[in-house]
Amino acid sequence: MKLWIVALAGTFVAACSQPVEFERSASTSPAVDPSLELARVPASLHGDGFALRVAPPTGDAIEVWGLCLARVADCYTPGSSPFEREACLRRTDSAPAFGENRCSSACRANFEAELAHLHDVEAAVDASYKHGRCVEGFKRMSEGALEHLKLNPRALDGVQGGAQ
Amino acid sequence: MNRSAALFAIAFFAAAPAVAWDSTCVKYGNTLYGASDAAKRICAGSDSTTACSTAQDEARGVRVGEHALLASRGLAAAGLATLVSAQLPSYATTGTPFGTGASVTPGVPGVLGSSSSMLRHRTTLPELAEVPDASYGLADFLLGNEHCFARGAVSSDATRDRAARGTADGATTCHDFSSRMGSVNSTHFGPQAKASYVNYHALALQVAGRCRADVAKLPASDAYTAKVASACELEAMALEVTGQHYLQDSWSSGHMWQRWGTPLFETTADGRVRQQVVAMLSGLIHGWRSLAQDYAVVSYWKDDQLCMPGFFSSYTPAEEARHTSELVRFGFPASATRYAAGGDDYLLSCTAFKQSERWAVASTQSDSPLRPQYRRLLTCSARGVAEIYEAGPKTAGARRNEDVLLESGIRTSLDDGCWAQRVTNQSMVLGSAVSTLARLDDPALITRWAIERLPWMASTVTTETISDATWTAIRDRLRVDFAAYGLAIRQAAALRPEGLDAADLATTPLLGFGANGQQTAPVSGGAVTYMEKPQRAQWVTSAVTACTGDGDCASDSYCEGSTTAPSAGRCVLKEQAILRVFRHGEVAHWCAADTASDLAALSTACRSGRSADACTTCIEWARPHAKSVAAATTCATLGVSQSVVVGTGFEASADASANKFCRGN
Repeated sequence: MKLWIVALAGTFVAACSQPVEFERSASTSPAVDPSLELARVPASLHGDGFALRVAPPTGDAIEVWGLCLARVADCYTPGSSPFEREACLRRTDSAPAFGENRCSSACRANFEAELAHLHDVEAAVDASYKHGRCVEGFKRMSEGALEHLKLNPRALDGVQGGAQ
Repeated sequence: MNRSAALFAIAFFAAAPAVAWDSTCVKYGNTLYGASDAAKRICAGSDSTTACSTAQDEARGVRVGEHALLASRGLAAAGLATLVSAQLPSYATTGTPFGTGASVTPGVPGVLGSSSSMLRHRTTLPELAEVPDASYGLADFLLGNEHCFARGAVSSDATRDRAARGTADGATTCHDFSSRMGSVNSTHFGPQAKASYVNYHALALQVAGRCRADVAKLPASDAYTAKVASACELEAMALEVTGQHYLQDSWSSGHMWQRWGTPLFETTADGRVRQQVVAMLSGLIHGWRSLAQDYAVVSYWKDDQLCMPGFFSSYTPAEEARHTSELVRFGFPASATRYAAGGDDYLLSCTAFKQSERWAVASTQSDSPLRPQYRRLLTCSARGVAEIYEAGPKTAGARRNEDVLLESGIRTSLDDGCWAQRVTNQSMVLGSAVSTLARLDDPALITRWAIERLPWMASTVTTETISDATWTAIRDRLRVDFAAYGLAIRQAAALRPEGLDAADLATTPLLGFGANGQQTAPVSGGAVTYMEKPQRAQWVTSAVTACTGDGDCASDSYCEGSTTAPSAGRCVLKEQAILRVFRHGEVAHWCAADTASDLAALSTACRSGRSADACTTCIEWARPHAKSVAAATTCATLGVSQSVVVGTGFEASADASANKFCRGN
């Protein structure tokens, strides 16, 4: 029996939900019979294998932003030099070696503009990629959620649960 | 995803935060917890036929988990091995004897009337370290988890919440970890854990100090003095050991970060759902082995997250060195040294990774990578109990044979060296499972899946009703906040892999909840109604409020009826349960609080001959009020004004006087 897992590939949590299937590779497979491994799982998870299914991709602004943020996060490899990180952050609109993460050319350009202005890579990342103004509709969605929930994420001191 | 699959997920994620070090309870045990066989019990585990399954079971069973074992080792390490087997005192209850499932509420004379019975509690001191995992506090535990002192726990709807208080279903719901207690267990992490411990430690010091002073006033070689000394010393140690739960948790690597959240239940439906989502997500980061390990299909991921990330399923001893970067590590802000660490369920070799003695937190091998963590945990624990013991009457004499493992540089359990530990930035990335490797044994897959499901799960388990628009807003904001959090910790891990700042979550709120340290004030200020009030003086109130049920009382109180008029109850502070259980230790309080009519009711019950326990209760409670030819009453000796004096003063001893008062001969 093949064991397949449907999951998000190369993405950043569920901010983006592009489902990609992976076959379990031999190098990381436990040396057990998957049919035995499935024995204690509720029947609803059986079938041809164990499926971790997430919601189908929505293509909404948060997902687009999340894919971009995942691409940015991949630039922060432990041990990488500042030059390597900056170079990586300047090509986030190119496809990665693996997965679907990438930013729009508008986001990449926004980063470069902020970097030219701020002269600080981390500050430029915050002001561009993380801020998300380069993704159409992102601000409306993310801030709309805040407003609906009456939350103020930056003024939490002494306020239970952050509610305004 | 259909319902059963979702429930499968709930089973994993909702309960994960509770686990801390493992707390295990066995129903209605007839044997005492013993340090000598605790390890065997942890390794054997508990089976479903004997495991405590309800909140009420939890307050009546025998606790045999890692917390209890750690407490017993802390006591022994402090040179207090004799206290490991100390039991809660027997006390009079309004219900039937222990073990039947009936009420275990410790009673007072006016309530007991003729129905008093003695509860011979088998709980030993180390077991109290497991209390905060199943009860909201020591008083809640002593009251059998039969009440709900957590405002808003059952429902964000105040009317519904109040109506549920004092009912059996309400108490059960209130103590359900998956949907209720776990929502507020941010108190088991970071600064809130320290604030919780500080409260208990301070209370224990207050009780121990007063105990020592009281005992010094009483006749030195008197048997009753010994009883008072033993009881108040045990009361002080019980408060300390209960508080040590939070100290122990802080030394599980899964807790060495500032889990978002507040110790108070949110008061709106969307707030409760957000709070539950945050708890579930925190559980994922903390670790979920104890819940996942029985499901073989996901057992590949069980050695994940902050309690023991790394190795995954491909581990072999030869690969150990290669995987060093995948270990969770911790350190202190003032030092560049970093140490390997483990957490819940990895204490002993039988449950350690690959059942390796080398990877047990409490490893016996001096070269174990986890040795520094265990050594400090043991030191902090031992210092805490030693401080309390030294402040009290020291009934067992000088402490002996302090463990050589203890670190001389840590002199008090409040030392920063006991509380400032944080996992490294790289560990937060591993624990948070935000990698993009997409390896099939990478817990990030579970995280990605869970993020999509958490809002739905949270609204289901909390039974809160929210609109579709609110549900969507929570889901959207969770996606944004967690992605931003993920980027922040990956940046920190890349720029400062050995740094400790990611664990403090300073700039990354989640669904409106900030870092743990922003919500210590409710704990320190005594606003958390389910915890013990931080000042012993606050445990007594002169206000009398009539009630017919718990819903008529403030959140920190319950409604107590009387045998003569069950429907005409009065509200009683939950902390009264502690004063009642440790009655002899609180003799000064009871000297003033007992009334002539209370003791007369007990005497009547004793003389009726219906219950041997009634006479025992009466004699014990009358004893400090009893005068004799030989000496003044205990109350007078303590300098406390007493509202009732028993005996004529011509009896040979106070014991004889009390006996005569109760039995009439």
